[in-house]
Amino acid sequence: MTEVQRSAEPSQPILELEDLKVWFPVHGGVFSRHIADVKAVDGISLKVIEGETLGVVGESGCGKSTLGKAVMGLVPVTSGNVHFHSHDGRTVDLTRLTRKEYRPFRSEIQMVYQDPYSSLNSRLSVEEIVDEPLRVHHPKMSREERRIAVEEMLERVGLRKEQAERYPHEFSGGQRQRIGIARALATRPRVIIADEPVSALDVSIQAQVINLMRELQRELGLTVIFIAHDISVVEHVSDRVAVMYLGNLVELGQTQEIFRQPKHPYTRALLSAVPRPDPDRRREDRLVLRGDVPSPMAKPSGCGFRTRCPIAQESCAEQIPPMIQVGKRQRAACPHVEQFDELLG
Amino acid sequence: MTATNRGKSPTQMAFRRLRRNVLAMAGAAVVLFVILLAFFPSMLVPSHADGSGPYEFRDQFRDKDQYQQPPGIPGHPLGTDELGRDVLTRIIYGAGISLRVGLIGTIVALLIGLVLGSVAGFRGGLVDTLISRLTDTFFAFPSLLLMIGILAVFEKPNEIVIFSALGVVGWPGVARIVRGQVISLRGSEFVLGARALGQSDTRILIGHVLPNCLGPVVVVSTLMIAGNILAEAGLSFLGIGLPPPAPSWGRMLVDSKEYWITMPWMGIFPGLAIMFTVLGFNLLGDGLRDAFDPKMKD
Repeated sequence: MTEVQRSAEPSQPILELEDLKVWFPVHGGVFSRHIADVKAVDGISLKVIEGETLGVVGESGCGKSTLGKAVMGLVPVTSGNVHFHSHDGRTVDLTRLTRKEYRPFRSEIQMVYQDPYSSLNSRLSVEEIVDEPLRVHHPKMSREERRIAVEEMLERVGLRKEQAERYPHEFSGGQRQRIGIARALATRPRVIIADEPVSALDVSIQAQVINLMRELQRELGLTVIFIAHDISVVEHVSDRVAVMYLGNLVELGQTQEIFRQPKHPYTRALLSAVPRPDPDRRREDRLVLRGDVPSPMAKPSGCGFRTRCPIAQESCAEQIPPMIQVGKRQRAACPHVEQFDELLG
Repeated sequence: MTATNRGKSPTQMAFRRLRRNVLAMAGAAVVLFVILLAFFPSMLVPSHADGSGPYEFRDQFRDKDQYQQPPGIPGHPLGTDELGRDVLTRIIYGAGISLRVGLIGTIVALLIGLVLGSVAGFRGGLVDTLISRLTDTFFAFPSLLLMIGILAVFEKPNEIVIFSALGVVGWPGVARIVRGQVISLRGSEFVLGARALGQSDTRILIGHVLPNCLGPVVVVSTLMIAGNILAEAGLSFLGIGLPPPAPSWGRMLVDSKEYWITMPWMGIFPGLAIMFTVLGFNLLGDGLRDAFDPKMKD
């Protein structure tokens, strides 16, 4: 567990999210009136430290992908800010930028997508796919320079440079994801947002791609936001973990701390659902949630988790609980964490 | 995946599949033959009975000694018409007209349809609503009436005007297909990826979205060429096609209608020419549709 130590020194934040909200309006009725909002991301504040891997976990529909897209400027942000500290020392609010203004920063923030089949344009060769970011962001590079850069990048992600002229359909899912990573890294970004980069892959391939990403991160000093629903994967890759539920952050902290001592009832339930090869673990220790996640269109008042929370109190309906310090570097959005065991009875 | 597919783009693979399709290849052969006739008519026209060279276009291929001859007489394998014009020669020269009508009409339809369809699909919202309703209106309007209206504006409509009018009538079909394709591609991850890269909308549309619509567009275009050849014949039949001296196949059908009992060959052969050409384009179009089908695998 030596890698975990690498960000022991708290350093500069590279991205700062402040009360970020992404609501999608829902229109209905005869006159397509605005009848509701899908609150995909509903007030999230967190800092991403330069060089770390921040894992974002949550069930499907909790808004974790939308969070990534909001940072990339791919979905309209309802309110809140995303401050980005550019390499030239400038700090910009990405949510306030027009598409044109955002463009120069895109070479610094890139994305790796979930589905290696639909995320690559099947009509382009691998070379054209990896070359595209260079053409957009480095128009002054010559053809030859770009070709060399593309081949170098392909070898870096474990492909052969002769494969540059092939087309995506000739590759397996894992190889395609390597192509996607090469494309994302072509402009030498500082931040990579990986949106479920391995969930579409076979388990045997997942490890290869994850290890590749970790290797590249170390070599290139990348900051990675790793979005996933697979908790074991997140535990394996992340320095810190952010747990999301219904568009809100419920717990945030060092990976080890969170996995050893989850504090928020939702995190506890999530972790107890992970099968562990531990013969001493008793069945009764498991915290099993009942019911379904409420619709993000009709969120419960106050704490979004209260309808399924085993220790829910009446006061939980009053306001969205703020994040409080619950460990050395661990915060959770639940005022009752300390009384968890007695409340559970 | 066979080794021969190495380094082949999806388009190249589609054409490989097309080459293995016998019917489509038969269609392609017919199409090729028509193209050949259109480009080199004089080389293929049979010699005159007295051994003199190919007929002059200006003369309307008249053989003053051989009026109304049935097929098979020397020098006129398909017979002559009421004015002594060689039917085969006129059919050969008519190939060029049919090809032009098919191509020009289709190109005009493609230009309008591609632009409107892709803009509607890509922009969505009000732009989409407006363009889609316009498309619907054109669809609902009787196309023949529209054609007559367009042609009535011009005092003496020439070839280009008549053929373009076919395109003006045909674009809604293209626009609908392109719009549907663009909408389904607009939300795909690779388009999102191009956007995340900072590509402009125009670049995304031209570089990523439209190339992926290529298959269906090629298919409708081919079928549309066939449709336009038929439509030109229909227009000529109604008397609003090309004016009489032109050896258009539709025109020849019209001219034959008064003689169909005494000289059936005057109508049968141009009719067959239309039939085989349209069939050829249709077979090719169907073959292309199968070849570009994403579900097809080698």
